[in-house]
Amino acid sequence: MRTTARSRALCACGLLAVCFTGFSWRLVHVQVRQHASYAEVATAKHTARVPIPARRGAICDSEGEPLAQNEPIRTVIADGSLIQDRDALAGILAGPLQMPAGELRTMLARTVWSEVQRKEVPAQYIVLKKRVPEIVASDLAATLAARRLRGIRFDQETTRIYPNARLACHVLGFASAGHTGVGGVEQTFNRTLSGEDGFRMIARDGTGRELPQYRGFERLPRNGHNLRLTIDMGLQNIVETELDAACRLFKPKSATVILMEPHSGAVLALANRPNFDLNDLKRGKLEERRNRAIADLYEPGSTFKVVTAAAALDRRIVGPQTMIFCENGYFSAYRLRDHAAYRYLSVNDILVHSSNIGVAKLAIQLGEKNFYEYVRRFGFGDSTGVSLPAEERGVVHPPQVWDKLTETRMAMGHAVSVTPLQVAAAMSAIANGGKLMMPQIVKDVTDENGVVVSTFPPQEVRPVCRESAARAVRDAMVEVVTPKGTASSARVFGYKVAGKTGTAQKPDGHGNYLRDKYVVSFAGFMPAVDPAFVAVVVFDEARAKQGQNYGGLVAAPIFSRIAEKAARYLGLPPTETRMQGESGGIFAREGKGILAE
Amino acid sequence: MRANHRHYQNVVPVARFIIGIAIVFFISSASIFYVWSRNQIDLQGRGIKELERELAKLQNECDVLRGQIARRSSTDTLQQGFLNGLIRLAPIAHFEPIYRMETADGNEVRAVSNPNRSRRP
Repeated sequence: MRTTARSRALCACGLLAVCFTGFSWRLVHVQVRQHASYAEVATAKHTARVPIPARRGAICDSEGEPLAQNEPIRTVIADGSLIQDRDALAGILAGPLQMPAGELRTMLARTVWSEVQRKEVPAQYIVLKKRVPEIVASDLAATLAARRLRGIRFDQETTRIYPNARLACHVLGFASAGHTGVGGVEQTFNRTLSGEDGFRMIARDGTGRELPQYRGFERLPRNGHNLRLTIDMGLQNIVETELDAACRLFKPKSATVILMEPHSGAVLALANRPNFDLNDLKRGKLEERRNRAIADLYEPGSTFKVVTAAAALDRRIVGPQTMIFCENGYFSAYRLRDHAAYRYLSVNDILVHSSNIGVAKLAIQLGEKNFYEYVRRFGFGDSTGVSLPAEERGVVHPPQVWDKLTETRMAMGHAVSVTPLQVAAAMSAIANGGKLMMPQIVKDVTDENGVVVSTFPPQEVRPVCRESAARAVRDAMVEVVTPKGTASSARVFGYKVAGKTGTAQKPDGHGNYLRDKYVVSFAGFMPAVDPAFVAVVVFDEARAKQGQNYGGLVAAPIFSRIAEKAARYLGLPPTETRMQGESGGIFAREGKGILAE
Repeated sequence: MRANHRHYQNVVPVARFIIGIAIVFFISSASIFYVWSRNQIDLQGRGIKELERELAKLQNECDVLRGQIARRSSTDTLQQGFLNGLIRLAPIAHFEPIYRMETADGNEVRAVSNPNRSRRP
């Protein structure tokens, strides 16, 4: 009996010992051998790496006016499992969300199939409306809290707003929903604007809520830098307003105006038509997003004669007053015609009267190689280097592939394709005394505290011609804007203007030109001496009256209107006492401390 | 020996009692301190969260206001206001350019009176 009891006790003890040994072994196995994997599972369950998004940098104009910045918005989300009174909720939400109550009721009643419960259950994630303004969302949240209605939450997001909507839309571009820049400086400077996201290691409780007291390592985000553009919204507004007025009148297929500071290459204003609303991208067409100032190629026509004349003068093949025989209006060897029968014209007058035969002869005298070299030196056939995406290089064929007529055609702006910005840069080179400047669109980059991080000083690409040659061309261009020239309508009261018109038939793509389709343009600067700005106006297929579709009649007056307003805006002192090109009359103006003359 | 034993048995074990109480006091105060500390940490966590929420709210409000200011003071809005007649702008120059057809002799430059000037307040 005693033996039995003892053996039972021993048995029980042995079993217990075995059990405890097993448990101990398991404990050691779990705690020691499998420690790493269990620790990993536990860490994964209770900790998380939460990204801290960086704020996208703002963009402002040269005077600090905001052009692009961020604004918080909310997405309204319903959790059907928490909603008790659907009708009351729909009634409250309908007004602020601007949605019909019926539609909201239907959305709130949405169900999903639950595999666990094997039945339809209320959906827990119903997106009611996106992009709800912060003020509307906070008011709505307060109303719901007061009525003690559950089941609605407001997820925060950030959107990009463009206070000027359409102004400078092609320069700015836009940021997509994922905050990636598309087009304009938003694309070119995407990395600068985006910054770098940070992160934070957080601990969570069983319900998934953060326990802020147990936060781990964190790296703060580096917010995006801000851009200050060279664009001046005052000038941009002048350009856009005039462009709109001109487009209403001429209804062109497309139009471009560029205003550039010739000494620094800073782009002061850049506008294209058609354009689009940066705050309403859904309505915009892809065609409207094209920055025609840098992406559209056109044959510049007579504005290109400036390059030919500058090249001839720089090579000292001719002087400004050298007389060239203009074949009485028809140059049979090259099948060239002038719009009037000129006999002898000085180099100056070739530009003033825009003689095709005259510039063709200048190009012939230069020689193919030299002429080609000058065309390239002025920046044609190369991208200008402006900080905007999708810039075209233009088409300038090398002399090896030229035929007999190419040189004479190129001299007058045919057989060559350029962008309006290239013309503006070339015209700036004439205006500033012969230096080709890289067009600049960004003035500087600042961090979030306004400290300048980097600047974009003026960059001279190369000297293109001697100052004397540039001056001679400028003088001729001044005469173009007189009653005897082709652009008298580009005159501005009180200022000496230099410019050149261009009227080019559009190529049909089969080696011929379309009879009734023109690209008309005007490129000029003001004041002629020490100019404050260069302006290029390009109108593609303007619907002018029969016989009036010329650069001098369509583009030049637009230049005049823009230049006059720009001069007032910039406070340029008048340079002239007489109307340009007229001997009589005294032009008097008083303002900004300048006494009547 | 026996009497002595009895004598000692009847004496209250004050020292042990005090030691026991001290141990219990120490353990309970340590536990309470631990709980209090954890609670403090939790409260601080909640405080941090609350402050973060407040900061985010202020930042949001600031961004919203900045957006509104930018919209209302934008060139586009001012231009629209001007076109709709809601905003009136003073002319940039008080004086209009005057173009006189009659010429002075030679290169003489002379002052031109401005009729608008007398109307000025």
